[in-house]
Amino acid sequence: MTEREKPDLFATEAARLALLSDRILGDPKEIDAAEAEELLLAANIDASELKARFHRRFDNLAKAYAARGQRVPPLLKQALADLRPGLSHSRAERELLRQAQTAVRDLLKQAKQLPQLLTKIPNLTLAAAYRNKKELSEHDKKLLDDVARNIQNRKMNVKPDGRAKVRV
Amino acid sequence: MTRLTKGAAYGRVLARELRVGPGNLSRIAPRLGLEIREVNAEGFDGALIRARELALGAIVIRKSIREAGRKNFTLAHEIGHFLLPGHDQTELICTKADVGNWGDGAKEIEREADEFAAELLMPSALVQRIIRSAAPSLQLIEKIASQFHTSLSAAAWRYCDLAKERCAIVWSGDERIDWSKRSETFALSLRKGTPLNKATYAFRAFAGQAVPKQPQEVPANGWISANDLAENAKLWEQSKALPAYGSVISLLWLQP
Repeated sequence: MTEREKPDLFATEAARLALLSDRILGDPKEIDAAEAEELLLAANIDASELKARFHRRFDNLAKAYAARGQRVPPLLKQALADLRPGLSHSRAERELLRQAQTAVRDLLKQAKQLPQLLTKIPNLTLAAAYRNKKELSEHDKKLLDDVARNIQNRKMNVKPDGRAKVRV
Repeated sequence: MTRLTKGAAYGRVLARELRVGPGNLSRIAPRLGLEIREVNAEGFDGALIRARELALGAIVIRKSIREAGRKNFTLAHEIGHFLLPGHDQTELICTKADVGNWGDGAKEIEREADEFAAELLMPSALVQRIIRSAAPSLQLIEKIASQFHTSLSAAAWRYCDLAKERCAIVWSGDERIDWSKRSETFALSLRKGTPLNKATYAFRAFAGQAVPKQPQEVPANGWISANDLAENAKLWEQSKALPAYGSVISLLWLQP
């Protein structure tokens, strides 16, 4: 069988993947980059990492073409240009998401260890700027004071080992 | 494409980290070290009382907020204050005007908390699918509000935040534009405080007159300066009176 007679497995596979993708996610025209990124994130795939991996792979492919003295196909050139890492706006967004992820994870971790952490802190300082607000009624200030007292009680109701005190 | 804001980034990450469906706030708050208390407040809709030293606090919500969607949005807004950097040293008592005030004059931290709440309750990927499912209409915005358990004003803002069509939402009070939100492609000006033109359905809705239940073509100069408008452009309007708020909501849609 000559090269020309061989079935184009790449094209068949690409068509199958395109069909699967269309069935699951809809026509590519209906989805923008932001939504695609969110769908990937929902599947725990970091879009920037995926993009970088594709860029590396296509870059190696382009180098292989060059090493053989062949011209790099136009579509491959286009893919490399599209995936080239750079200081784009989306990079700033990715950085923002990274910062948010760190902050959220820290907070969730702290919330999980709350009973133990409460035993280590001698006193809780609660935001109390509301007490100086002229536009708040005495009734509202009292409500907020009650809530603040309740938070303080949460600390007092924790045993030194982090477990809740049993109320009789 | 809409720019990802700080508030939206934190809202999106929180939903992803907790792996809970949109709107499930009663499950989210305890996992952040927050208690939720409903109280008979007189002068505020929501408040956050927090400890400085660690992730511990309480969100206080006014019991008498009528609309469940509005209550949910206020709760999400306060979670935003708890989570967002730079919100920890500030005043955290939010009046009705602070929550879901989409006007240009909103304080920055309140706007960030609103953007956080919008993304947490109405994830862009899910809302975009609804937006694409039908032509612009107030019914579509009401569907978003109902499906994501949020207020109509927040859903309307979100709609124009994500829509690709040339549309805008106008919220009017006292027969004047209170705030507006334009989609990225709606480049025409809608100024806050502008009195409603008598030729608009919004004006008729204020007057208690019947208005069409679907978008209708209207004289564009009722809303927009004729100089700003392309010669063949057509403006469609759908307005609805909201007696409980003393307001009228209008959807404007430019075609082609």
